[in-house]
Amino acid sequence: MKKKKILDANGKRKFGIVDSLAYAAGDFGCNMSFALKGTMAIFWTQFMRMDSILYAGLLILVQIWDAINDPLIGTIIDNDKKRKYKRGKFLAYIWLGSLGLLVAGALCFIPWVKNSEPLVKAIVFVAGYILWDAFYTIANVPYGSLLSVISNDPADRASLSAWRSIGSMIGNMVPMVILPMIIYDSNNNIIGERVFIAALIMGVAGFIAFQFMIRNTVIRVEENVTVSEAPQKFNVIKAMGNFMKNRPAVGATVAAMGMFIGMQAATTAVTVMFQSYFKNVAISGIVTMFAMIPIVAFTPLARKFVVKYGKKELSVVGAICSVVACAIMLLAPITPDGKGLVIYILCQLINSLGMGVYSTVSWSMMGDAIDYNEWKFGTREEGTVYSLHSFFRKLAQGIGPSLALVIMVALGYSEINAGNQLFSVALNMRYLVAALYLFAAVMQFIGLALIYNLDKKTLARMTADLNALHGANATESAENGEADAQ
Amino acid sequence: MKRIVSLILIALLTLSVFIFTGCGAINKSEVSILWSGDGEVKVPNSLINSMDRAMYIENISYVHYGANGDAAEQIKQAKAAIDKGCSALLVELVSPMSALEIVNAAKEKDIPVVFFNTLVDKAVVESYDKCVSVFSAIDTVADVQGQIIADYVKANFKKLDANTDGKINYVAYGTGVISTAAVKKANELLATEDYTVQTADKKKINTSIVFYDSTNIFSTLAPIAAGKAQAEIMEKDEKAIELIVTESDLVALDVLCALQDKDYNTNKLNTHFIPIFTVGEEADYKAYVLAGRPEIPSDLIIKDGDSDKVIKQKNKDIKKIAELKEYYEKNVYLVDLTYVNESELDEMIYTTINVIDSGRISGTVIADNDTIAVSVAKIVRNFIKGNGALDGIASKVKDGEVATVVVEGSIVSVRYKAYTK
Repeated sequence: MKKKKILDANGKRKFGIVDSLAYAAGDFGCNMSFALKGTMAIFWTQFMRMDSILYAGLLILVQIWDAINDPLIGTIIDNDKKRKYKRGKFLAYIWLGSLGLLVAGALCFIPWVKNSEPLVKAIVFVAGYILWDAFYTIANVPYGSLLSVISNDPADRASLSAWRSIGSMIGNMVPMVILPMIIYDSNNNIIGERVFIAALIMGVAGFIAFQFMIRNTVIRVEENVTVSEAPQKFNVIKAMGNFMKNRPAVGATVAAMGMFIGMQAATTAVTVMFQSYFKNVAISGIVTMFAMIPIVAFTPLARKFVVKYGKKELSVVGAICSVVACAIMLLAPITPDGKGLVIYILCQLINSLGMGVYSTVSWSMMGDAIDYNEWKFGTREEGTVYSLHSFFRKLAQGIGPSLALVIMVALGYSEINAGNQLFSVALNMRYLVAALYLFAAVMQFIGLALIYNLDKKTLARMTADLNALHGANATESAENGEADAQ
Repeated sequence: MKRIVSLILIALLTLSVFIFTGCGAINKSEVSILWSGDGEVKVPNSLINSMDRAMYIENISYVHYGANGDAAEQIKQAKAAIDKGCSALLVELVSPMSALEIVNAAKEKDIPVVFFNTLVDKAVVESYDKCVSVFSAIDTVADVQGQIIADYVKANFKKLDANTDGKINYVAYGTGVISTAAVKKANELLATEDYTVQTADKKKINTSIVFYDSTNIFSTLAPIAAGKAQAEIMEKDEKAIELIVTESDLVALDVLCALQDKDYNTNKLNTHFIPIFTVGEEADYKAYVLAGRPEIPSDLIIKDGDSDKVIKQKNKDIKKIAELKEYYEKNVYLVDLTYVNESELDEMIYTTINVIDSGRISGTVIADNDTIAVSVAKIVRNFIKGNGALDGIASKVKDGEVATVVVEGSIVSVRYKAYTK
């Protein structure tokens, strides 16, 4: 006997685990492409022998493209209100992006130009990155906005956010653990050809995950919400102004920037630290995975804790944990042996617990920030708010690694020495890693504790107000419809 | 909520107290490390870099001093460090002849001495109960060097046998301990069927390596003296020596200079050469070798009035130099490899067993710098903490490890697995 679908009041499939799994698969797909980004600096400087400063400069250059690309695609999606799509506009854009991402990730790791002139290498890097970034943005921007249209129930959103974190975590963790064992040789040097093949395989895995998400996602909230009766003229500057006035969006963005500085900017320094300080880069993935244990343990409890304590309250405690753990990491005598590694792992364990608490609710916080925009300014602007958030996040992801690489060079890092840096340099990397993590944790604390203003009580008030407003609008529309019919 | 936060904070603070216990170096006064070279850390694959790491792990504060190949300067540095009251003296000797003087000076002030990476007379080490020597096991090093010499002779016999007497005349500089064993090993191999060589008149023979002058082999231990001795030999008869064996790169480089003064072992086209087989101590070849990279000489520039034949020859020579230059850039560091992956080639410049010919240095890496450095640092830690100097130093043979540490009396030997070409 065929199982009967349980439908909600609007005739849509009732929100359930399939939605969460599908949403998680989306971030898994994004991360299949994104996870390799952390390997780019090592690939281009150590394997391709590109000058580290030149690489840092080029990375900033491609981030300028990002800066144009992100709000542009966000605006295109926001303004795309007339065209009808079978599965909705967000999913249509995600499908397009996922198609490109099949191969775009590998384009960033073309190993055959290793012996070419620096100019040729620079062109290959920039072209590969721009293509990858374009497709990534086409998939990622609507994916982020999708959360707010799958459900408007805060608990559902918290669940989606938590599952997104799981998808992201698996998408991050699988390559993070497996890749170092495959792409580095026994002397801790990167093998470029293997990175290229890995990128292709991950592209295919990501594509499959995206297709699963597209087929199993149900849009329950109208994608083009118009609160006021007269259609508003879209104004990017005004949207930017609104974004800056939107304290939850700014707070969540500052915290996310902190998180990404910690996760992305430190990546290259962490790899070099494992290559030259602990002299075992293959183990780096396992260490990182071990440090993820608290997040895995916390995620199933996220919803319960959020309901009890509130998102802001919970993530502030997490940020305090991170600050303390990173301060210990900076000051503790972490020696390049087993003992030092254990201290490093302990600190990372606590740091990632703190970061993980925020990470599980971060997307939900952005969803709330989009609601806050509507609550305070009367417009939702999902695409714009999300793309500006994404822009600043990418800024942290782009400027962060570039800046970190420049600092690494200043501290003696030399691409010529590849996976075997001087000990003094390796020691500098060990301190740089801790300093970057500490900086990230402090930023997270500032964003969440001092800027983000949607505590448990305010959030409840906002949700009630918006529900009342949407209810009134729905009744008004229904009455108008009846009047028209008469 | 507040209770959870305070519990977390208490746990973190307890952890930090636990972690911070034991901070600060274990020695009150510095440990002085005296290097035969310049004492500067330049490349990762070097003993000095490994020493930095090992000393950091053991939490020992130290200072590097470089003697720049000057034995007298090294003795002066040792005495200055002893007068300053250093916790321990670690010495990579410029000349083994300095060992006794350094040991006697340290003994007076009860300062421990660890000789490392240099061959030191066992009697000198045993003359002081706070003296230890850490060095690669001589038989392993000699074995590797002997095999390299035999392989080299087999491959280059016609070029080597300058006086066409069917034998290879050699001179050795150093204590003779390694070179004698290495030559013995080489001759054992050269006597086998696999190592027969072809003479100029196409006869197959078993060659051997013989002393050029058995009365004058081991008299020169210091680099400058070795260079001078080689210059004197060259002055008498340029073709007298067909192969050179030394036990130190510093000595080898001085001998190389003496040869280059006579236009031997240069990077010019068609240079005469005498291979120098040596045991490495000095990591910084990069600058030396790159400085000697072949350039196109001005006399090869085509001038007005050059005949077609001259132009053709010049073009041919330029092409040869270009090829040679390319070869240098690709293969400047290593030819024979042990325990080195191909991917390491570009970076590997620290070599232990080297062959120097035509201005090119090639070699075989057998040294596990980390094993030597870790052994030295542990010995120093034991001295500082008042434990038995060699407690916990010896290691058992484990799969996948390059070297094992063997302790015999005050001599610590780092043994490497067999050489495989």
